[in-house]
Parts: sequence; structure tokens; C-alpha cells
Amino acid sequence: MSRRLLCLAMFICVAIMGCATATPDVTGSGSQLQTRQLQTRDYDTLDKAKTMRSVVATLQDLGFTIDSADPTLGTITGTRVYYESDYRNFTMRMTVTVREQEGKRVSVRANARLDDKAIADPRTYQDFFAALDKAMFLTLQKVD
Amino acid sequence: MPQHGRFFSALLLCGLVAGCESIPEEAYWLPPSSQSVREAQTRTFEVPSEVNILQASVALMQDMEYNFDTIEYPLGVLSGSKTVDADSMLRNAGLVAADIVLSLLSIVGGTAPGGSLYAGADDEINLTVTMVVLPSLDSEGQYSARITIRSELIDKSDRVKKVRMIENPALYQEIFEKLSKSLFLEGVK
Repeated sequence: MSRRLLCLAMFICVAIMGCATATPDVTGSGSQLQTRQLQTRDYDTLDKAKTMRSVVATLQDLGFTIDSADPTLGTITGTRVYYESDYRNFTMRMTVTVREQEGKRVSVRANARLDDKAIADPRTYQDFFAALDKAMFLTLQKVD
Repeated sequence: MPQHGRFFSALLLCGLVAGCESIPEEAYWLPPSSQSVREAQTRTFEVPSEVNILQASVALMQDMEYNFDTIEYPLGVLSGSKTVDADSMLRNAGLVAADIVLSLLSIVGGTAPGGSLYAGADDEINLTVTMVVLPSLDSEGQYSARITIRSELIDKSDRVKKVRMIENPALYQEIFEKLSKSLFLEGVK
């Protein structure tokens, strides 16, 4: 009987403590260089204003609502929710920054979190940049 | 006794799995909207200046009773939100209200209204609208507007039950008709 109780207690402890971490992730995880490489693309086709226009169009296209945007600093933040089933909704928040670089280059960096976790999955950034490439091309071709 | 041991081992494993509930892979994916949805959400307007269309858009959002969360002029971004009672939305249902409520309550889950997915008396719906109004790239004097709407069904314990992006073309048609009317009321010819 006492063995059963012990196992039950262990089960409850594991279920409760399953994903607990000792300290909050204040400074982020992962390598700084690797993270930047994954999240950044350089373009030399459009200026900063037109690139920001393309970023807004891309975020709308991918189902984000725009929370804030600042053309001076070149930042745009949006939110998207993935609905799996009732009460299982996953919120992605993405911030995109557009910066002018030397020459006529513009760099675009996207970083995203899904609920309480930073996204390190390359697929998310690949999807974003694939859609942005298309939007940049359409803007370049003057297609609304 | 060994059977009990296996049972508790299985229980322990379940505890480990339950403790680390995983995020579905699809939540990380970002599929683009279809061409038909994009077309339904976009209209081009011919007006004398950018200020005209932006003022009419601001007035439209106010007509639809949204509060602004952010307005960014050079980028033409207008975002607003409102919370409505799910019951009163159904009672006062226009096309917009009916679509939002019924699709949230039944279509997403594939359950008929009145089934287990039906909203309770105290359920609320949060609506978030993003409207982007910009000068057209290919024709001078024309402005394109794209609207996207997210709706969230919130239960009486303030928990988000369902979320979806509104894709019904008839709904966007109704909003763009209101925008045309707003331009007319603002005296824009």
C-alpha cells in the first residue's frame, strides 16, 4: 500500500514539476550569432519605406494583426493565434525590424515567440522570409 | 504485484508526458492566405488625397464602434479592437455579427449551434481589426485598403476558447461598402 502511495506521490510531483525551470529566461537562450543568422535577411532591391510596406503586407498575409509600427525605428510588431482545439490556442508574437545598411542594402530581422517560448525553429523564419521575398517582388513590380 | 508495478510505471510515464505538454508543430508554420481571401480583404479607391481616405477609414472604424490600439500614418496602419457580448451580437445580428458569432460557435468545431461548443450566456467576443491604407503602387490617385479581422471567443472565466481569422468575403464586402459610404459622408468626390 505504501508503495502505491509513493508511486502516486511521484506521479503528482512529475506532472507538476514536468517543465519547471529554476530561473526565468531573462537574457534569452541560444547563440547570439546563430540566432541573428536565422532571423536576418539582406535585400538590395527596395528602400526602407517600401520594405516596411512589404513587411506589413506580409504579416497581414500570414494572418497577423498589427499591434504597433514605427517607421523611424523601422519596427513592426504583430500577433497571430493558432487554434488547435477549444482552449488550446497558441499565440505567436513577431517583431520585425528594418534597417538601412551601407550602400543600398536593407536588412530585415524577424524574431518571434510562441506563447512563453522564443522560436528557434527555422521553419517559422523560412516561411516568413519566403512570403516576404514574394511581397518584395510584387512591390518592386508595382503590384498592390 | 508485478502487474501493479507496470500500471504505476505507465502512470509515471503519463505524468512525465502530461508535465511537458507539447506545442503542435503546425503552430510554428506560417502558411500565406489564399489569393481569394486576399482579394476579398482588399479594395482600391480613387480619391483626391491620402488624407481623405485615411480620415474616412478612421471614421469607419469609429462607426463600427472600435477603439484604436495603434495608428501609424506613413505606414497607413490602423488597428482597433472591441469586446462584445456574444448573446447580444446574435440578437442584433447583421451580416457581420451573425457571421462572426456563428462561425466561431459552430463551423470551427463542426458542431451545430446548441451543441457543446455553443457560447454560454456570459461569453464575450474580442474582435481585433487591422486596416492598412496605402497609395497604390501602379496608379496615381488610387489607394488600396486591406482589412483583416481576428475574433476570439472568451468564456466567463476569461479564458480564450476559440480563435479564428474572419475570411467570409460577404463580410468584407459589407465593410468596404461602409467605407464607400464613409467617403461620401466625408464629402469626398
